[in-house]
Amino acid sequence: MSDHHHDQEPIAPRVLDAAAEGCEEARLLINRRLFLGMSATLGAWAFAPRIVRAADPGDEPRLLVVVLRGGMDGLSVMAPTRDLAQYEKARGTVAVDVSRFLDLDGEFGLNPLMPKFHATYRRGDAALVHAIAPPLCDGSHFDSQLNLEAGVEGRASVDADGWMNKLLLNLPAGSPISGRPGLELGPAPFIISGEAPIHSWYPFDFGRIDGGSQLRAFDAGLRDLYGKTDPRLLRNLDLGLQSDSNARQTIRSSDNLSTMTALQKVFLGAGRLLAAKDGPRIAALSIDGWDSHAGQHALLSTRLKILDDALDDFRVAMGPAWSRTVVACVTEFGRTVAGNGRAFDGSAGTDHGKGTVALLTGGAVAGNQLHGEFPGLTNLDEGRHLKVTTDIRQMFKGILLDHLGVSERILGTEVFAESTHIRPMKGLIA
Amino acid sequence: MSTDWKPPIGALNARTAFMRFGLGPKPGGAARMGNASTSALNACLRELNITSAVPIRDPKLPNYATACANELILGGAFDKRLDEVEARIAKQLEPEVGFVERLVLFWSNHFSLFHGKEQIIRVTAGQMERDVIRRHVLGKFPDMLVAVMRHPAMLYYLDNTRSIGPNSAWTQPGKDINENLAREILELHTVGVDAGYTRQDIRELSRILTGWTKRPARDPQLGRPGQYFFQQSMHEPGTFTVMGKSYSQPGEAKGIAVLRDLALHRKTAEHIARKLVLHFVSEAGPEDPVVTRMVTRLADVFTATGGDLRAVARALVQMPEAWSMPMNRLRQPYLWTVSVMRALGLDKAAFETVADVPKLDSYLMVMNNHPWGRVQPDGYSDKNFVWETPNAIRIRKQIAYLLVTDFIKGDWTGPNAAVLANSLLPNAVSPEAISAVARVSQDKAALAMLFMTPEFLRR
Repeated sequence: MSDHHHDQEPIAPRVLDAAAEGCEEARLLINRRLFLGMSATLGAWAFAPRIVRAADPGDEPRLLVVVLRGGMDGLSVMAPTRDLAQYEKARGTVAVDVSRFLDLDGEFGLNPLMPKFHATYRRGDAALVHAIAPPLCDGSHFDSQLNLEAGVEGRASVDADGWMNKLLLNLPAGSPISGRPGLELGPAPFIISGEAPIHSWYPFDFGRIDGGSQLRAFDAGLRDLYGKTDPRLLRNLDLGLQSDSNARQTIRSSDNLSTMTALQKVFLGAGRLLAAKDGPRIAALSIDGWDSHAGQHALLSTRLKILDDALDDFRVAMGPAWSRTVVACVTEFGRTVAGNGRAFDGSAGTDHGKGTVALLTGGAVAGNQLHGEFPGLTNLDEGRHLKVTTDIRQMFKGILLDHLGVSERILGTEVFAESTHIRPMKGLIA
Repeated sequence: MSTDWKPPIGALNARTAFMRFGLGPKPGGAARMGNASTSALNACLRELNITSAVPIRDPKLPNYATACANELILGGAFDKRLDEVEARIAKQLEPEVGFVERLVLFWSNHFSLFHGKEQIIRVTAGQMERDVIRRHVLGKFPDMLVAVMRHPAMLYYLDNTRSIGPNSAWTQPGKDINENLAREILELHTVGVDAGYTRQDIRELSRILTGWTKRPARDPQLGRPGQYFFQQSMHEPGTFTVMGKSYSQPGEAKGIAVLRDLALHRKTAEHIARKLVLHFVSEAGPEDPVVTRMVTRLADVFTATGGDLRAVARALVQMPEAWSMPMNRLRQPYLWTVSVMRALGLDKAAFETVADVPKLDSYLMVMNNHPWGRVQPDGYSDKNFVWETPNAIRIRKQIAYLLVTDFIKGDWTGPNAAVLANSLLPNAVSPEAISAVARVSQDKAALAMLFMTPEFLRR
């Protein structure tokens, strides 16, 4: 079982660099060195029976929302490429060479560190949305993330439920995916937390209590105790055991886990679980570390490359179910248009801004096109921010309406509270 | 919780002291505490008076100058961090309750750092906790705030080292303001996001803090590599207004003045009181009158004493509500991990002998509660939903067993787990839990079961 031995793989210099830049995902990978000598890691999966063998090619829609935390600089992902002089003037120290950007529609280009996303876009399975942001865009990471994840107009309380959890409770009654639990991957994202049951999974395993009958007896004893004294712990333990068992069963001996980063494993797990027959259909995960106050170019280079690889791994993992899938990558705000230093040495960064981009990918996306309206680099909000032309709820509503069949009334009252005036974006779904 | 069984009040108070305000009981700790109705409170209060127990005095650990100079080392920076993790945990095995240690962790999390961002943070975050947080944990909040902001770890983490006044004397390229630190001082460290400040206040504060930077890693002429210093030539001259008050002092004094004012602002008192109640007692919001009453009481003490953190901590445990609110939240993984070691009777020497610190550290990472490992500057959450996910419970179950097997070499020679439960939390563990533990035949698995009981998981 060669994938038992991945701990001893040398760490690639690229990953060391990424870790030095503070990339959490790389940090996780680096730390695998510390697992040397531990009893078993992902290899333990090989022992699980493969019940969820076949991907379900059926007709059920899938949705994955990826929250990019920290405020991603949208103009580094997609930039206008016609007027290079204007772009360079507007961005100053954080201008990158957009002449190398990958063409999207003759007017805009994609960062060349995302070639896989670009190929998917060209195949008609990916799109981007211009100048988008959550309705509350006050410069605070935490306010804006909560606002995005609660799906409300203004300040949200973390005591509320995330809008994806409300979505789970409000799927159309006749929908084949109604009543299915949601799925969260990695550290609990608020966007999907709440009362509707959520499966959760994280790709780490240190070996367990013997693994056989003793483990089953232990789990049974713990379940019995929680059943008598703590129903909430019982519910979560059961969901956790079930998620873990499902996830193990999706791993194949041909999976080359040894060369994957933790983030790739998370996306692989997401893909396999969403693809599986009777698996979850609504999932969320979050990736930290997009807050590029300084050293923006290096920071984004690392992350965009990792995101590009992970999204493509996810596409492959979905198999035939990709055709009924939408992935939305969103962030709490964009960043100031102009860079914040005067040196062109890569040390410059940007402060918290407003309009940014959303990335959509999946076979169900109306791809090879850009949505929304680009407000231009000259007419800025407060003189420093890209204006917001699309409320992020418009995009989410467009996906939920056309992809999942949730009615506009339910979207405006239940999923996104008091938002009937926010109309769904049209044409996002093929 | 089962409805027909209620622990006696003395036992419940002991559990509250250990699990809500402390780091978990050690064997026999509850008996040593006594079972009068005030025993548990007195045990917490006693620790607030033992100032000599707060510092970590270990000649092997770097002082400020050495830690900062470690910015230059090639390789081994991860190990420097692990040395600090080891020293912190070893220290936390000592006190009977651990209330002051919990305060250290609270304030360290209030001024959260992310070690993955850069080596200077990796090699100084632990030193900042030892020499700044511990030094002021029973002192005055304004002193703690100013000292944190004069530490290279925080200045680098929130990018202030790159903030240069556009009208300063600086002649090298790269003159511009970076707002990150100023924004988070207002939002996270002092008055809080509801305080009514504007983007303009953030901008003015960021100008005041220009020049608060660290010495370059390599500059033989300057010396003191990596340490804090005020660089006058980066400082934006002028008078600036923050939250309605204008500041015109020269140089660094302007920043110190504004930080001291912010530290004692009424909104800061309320923000910190709210965070303390959230962390130690309840996550109910302002709609809960008990919580609101507690927040007001703590804010009043904070204000009346000029931000005296010992007085605030004393007021926290002296509120009867702090002992009566339901224990319905999960203890965060770090606290729980330390409490497992304490429950197994590990002392500092035993821990240092048997501990595989890198492995232990990786458990904390997998449970998303890695020391100085939070990427975002808001610190680890006190909201239950973060810690009680299905995945988190499943992983904690695995790690309960791993901790037991890691720390007990060979056979377990202590009392069996059900007996140990009664030594740790006499009369405070439900009969259902005792019997679930007793039914596990293998000694180490039975201990793991004990550490997964609701009484051991919840606070």
